Amino acid sequence: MREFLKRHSSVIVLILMLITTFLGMWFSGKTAIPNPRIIGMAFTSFFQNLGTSTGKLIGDSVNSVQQLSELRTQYEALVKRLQVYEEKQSDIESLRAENERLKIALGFSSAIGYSNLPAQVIAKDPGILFSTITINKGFNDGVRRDMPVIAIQDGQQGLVGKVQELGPSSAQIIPVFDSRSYLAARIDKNRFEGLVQGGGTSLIDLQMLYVAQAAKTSTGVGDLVVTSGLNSIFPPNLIIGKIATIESKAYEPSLSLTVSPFVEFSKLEYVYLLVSKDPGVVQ
Amino acid sequence: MILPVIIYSTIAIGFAILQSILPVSISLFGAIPDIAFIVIVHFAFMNGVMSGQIVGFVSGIFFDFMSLAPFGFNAFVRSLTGHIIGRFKGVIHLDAIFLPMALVGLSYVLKFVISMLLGLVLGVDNILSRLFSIQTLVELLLTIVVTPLIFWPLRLIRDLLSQRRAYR
Repeated sequence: MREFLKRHSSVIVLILMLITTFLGMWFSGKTAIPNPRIIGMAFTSFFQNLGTSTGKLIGDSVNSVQQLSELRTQYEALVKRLQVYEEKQSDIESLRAENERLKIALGFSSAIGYSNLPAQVIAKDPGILFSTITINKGFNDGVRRDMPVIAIQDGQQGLVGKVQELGPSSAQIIPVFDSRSYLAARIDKNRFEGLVQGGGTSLIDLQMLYVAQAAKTSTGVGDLVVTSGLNSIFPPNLIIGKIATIESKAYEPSLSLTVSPFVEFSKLEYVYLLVSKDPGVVQ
Repeated sequence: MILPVIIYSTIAIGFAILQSILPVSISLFGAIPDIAFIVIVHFAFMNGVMSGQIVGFVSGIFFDFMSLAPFGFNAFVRSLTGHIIGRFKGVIHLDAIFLPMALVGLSYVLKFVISMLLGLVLGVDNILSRLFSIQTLVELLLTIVVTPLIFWPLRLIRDLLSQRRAYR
């Protein structure tokens, strides 16, 4: 027996490890059992945070040396511009007050119904088979599973994805381009509904399926696609992307559209998790 | 055996974390070389089955911590790859450049096949379209290209560990 164990020790260890991995895959979906991923995420996020911060520090230091000489000339120019802005400030204050009054009148704030939690992107998936975005906020910060995540680029809000896994101080987001991501969507212009599915990588456009053929005449390339709000996770009218191509086959009941994501994922630094003001809005 | 396993596992984990925090802007078609995988292949080929599979398992678990892959997916793929590569310990004498590149290239194909089979067994969505993509090809090519640069310091570490063992 001992001889057998000794001779086949490597195979026995391999089998034990493979069983462990299968148990991990099996139990990772069971909430009653402590999830080893959470323990691991707590550990790895520390190093990911450290690495990101160190990289940023080094990059900032190098940049700051280069920028020092530019700062002097910019300073003088800025002093002059500041005088101009001070004059404009009083105008802005009055416009802002007017804007607030209009917002209240239009009921914008009640229609949105969400406050947000900003977070920094600290890592992505180390491999290419799966799509993961890791942020520096976890359940200790109030992040919850399935929270919608948006980013602001070019002054507009675009949908990034939703929270999938949680650690104490980090969370993993499944982005809209992941092929496991499905979104209830509609074309903003004509309000036709469809289902948006990720293409697998950020390099491939999203697919919008099940759009009625009747939408063909009123849909064009460049039209915005937004969330419909029909599922309980995403609020309505968050921008998903713009229509890139339209394919219509006479024998098919629906159009096939490709959608370019609004968010440029390679530039993603900060994201905002939508926190419901009303617990009844997001389940 | 324990010290080399700890050292190589730490190196592989370090590269796995580095792969996760590298900015997307330095990637090519969204892919970067899988340096942690090169470490596993090197260690398995030089030290055999047991060492290779343990380093593969440990680094794979850390990949799983940082990924939304089914938990255990990467640990399974990398420990099995480490085991199989370890079976070929010392079969050929590696030169500085071309044979390490060939070894890592073939090992990557093995990882690809294991990932595909496991993905199909687990019913991972669109596993085939993810595997048969330009990103996979680019990752394979980049991994092969950087292999000599990674094998060189790993060989130095191995020599240092061998010398240490000889002194004892």
